[in-house]
Amino acid sequence: MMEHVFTWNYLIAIYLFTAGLSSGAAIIASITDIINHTDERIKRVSAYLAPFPVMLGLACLVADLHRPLNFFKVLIHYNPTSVMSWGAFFLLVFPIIAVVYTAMVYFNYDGALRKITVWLELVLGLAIGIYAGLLLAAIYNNPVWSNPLIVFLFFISAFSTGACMIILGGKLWDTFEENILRKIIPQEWLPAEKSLAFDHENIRLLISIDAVIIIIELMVISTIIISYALRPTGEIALGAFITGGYYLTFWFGVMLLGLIAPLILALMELQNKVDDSISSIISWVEPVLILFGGFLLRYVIVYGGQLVYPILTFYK
Amino acid sequence: MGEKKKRWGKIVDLNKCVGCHACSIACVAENKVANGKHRTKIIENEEGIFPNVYRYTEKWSCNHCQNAPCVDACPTKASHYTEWGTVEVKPELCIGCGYCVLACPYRVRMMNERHDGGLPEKCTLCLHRLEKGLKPACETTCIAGAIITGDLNDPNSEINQWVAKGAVERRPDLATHPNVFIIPFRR
Repeated sequence: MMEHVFTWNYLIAIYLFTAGLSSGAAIIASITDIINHTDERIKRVSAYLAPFPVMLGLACLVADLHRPLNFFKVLIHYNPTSVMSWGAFFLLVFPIIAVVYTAMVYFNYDGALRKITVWLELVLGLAIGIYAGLLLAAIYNNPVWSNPLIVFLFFISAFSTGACMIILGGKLWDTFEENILRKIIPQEWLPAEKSLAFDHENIRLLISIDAVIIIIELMVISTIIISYALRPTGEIALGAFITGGYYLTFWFGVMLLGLIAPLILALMELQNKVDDSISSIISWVEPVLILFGGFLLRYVIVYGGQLVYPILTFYK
Repeated sequence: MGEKKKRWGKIVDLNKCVGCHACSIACVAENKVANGKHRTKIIENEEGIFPNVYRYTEKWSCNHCQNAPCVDACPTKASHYTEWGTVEVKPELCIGCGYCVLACPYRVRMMNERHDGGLPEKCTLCLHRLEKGLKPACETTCIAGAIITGDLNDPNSEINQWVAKGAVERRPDLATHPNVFIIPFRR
């Protein structure tokens, strides 16, 4: 009867995904710093990576605006009742703090300001992690989005995709250092204790975090499905990505490839029963699958949530 | 005791509406709406259970809520209430994020393309005509006389006689308190 008009497109999904990556990395960096985790490497890699994904996301966000030349207005004019206005403030402050924190970690600065910055990094990391889901959940007339559990789902998914980005970042740097860097610069420039490469124990720690989060994610997704079904708008909400609409992307992309497959791989790895060669493949494939699933989850919810609008007009 | 401030409102009588789309086209012509967009459109409702089914048309446009979700959602306060109770968009503040389009529970806004200005397209209740003492474009062209616009704060206005005929809010469960009412279709 009415054509589907998507107000928000894949750029918003990319933004939600990258904001999650930054949020997860910032939370991991600041927590390992606050509790004085003995191994420097997780702390360093996550602190180095934290500011950059969200910058890409912000570029996507501005590119998605229909009046992009006016984008700075959102940084000057604030509306306290608007979730997006709060988010714009956090997204303005977070990259600045994160870059300052990255510099502090890089130059091993350990003064009083480090303590303040690390707590700010934690608070802002939590804020942008929560904001990503809240942006959608605040639209209270949308049967798919206006679900408090979406906020929680996006938040824990941000944490697990952030951890995966750190695994991949560490491993990529490792490969780069071993295969290229060590061949072109003198050995003494790269002392072993300054290396960013993860040892096996760090990867196991991050993978076990991922496994726990995937189990929680599976529980949250089933709770979301139940909470949709219990509402009067249940049929519309389930039709968006559970039983119709984007259901193939959801069940195969998000559930099978993005959650269940990496969970099985993670458990195989953690049981210590596989060879080293398989284990090294797993530690590449598992984070890639989780990142892939994390992006598809946001894609499915952003697009699925907009499928309901033509129906809503007639839903009275 | 000064003169009481005007609160512009509109009532659509669904018993009179014939679904001719004249209001939709008159609005496009009056407000120079971008190609392919409509600030007001006709939707078709089907109600009842077979064999007692019936069908009626309804003019669907901005309801000018007094508690508007779009105004709450707008990050820059570009969507705002005018002093006559209607909802409008300030082009100089709008960043074109589309959040108001998604927040509107009536789905009456739609985004213009970037080359058409990128503003959310919505009914202004033809304030520029009301200020001159004219009627909105949709009302002047309605062949059935199904639309009435007027001052809700003036007890003697014609619109308040229509209110007495049984005008109701759309989706009162949303607590948006619109200034635009309908007289529901009766078989």
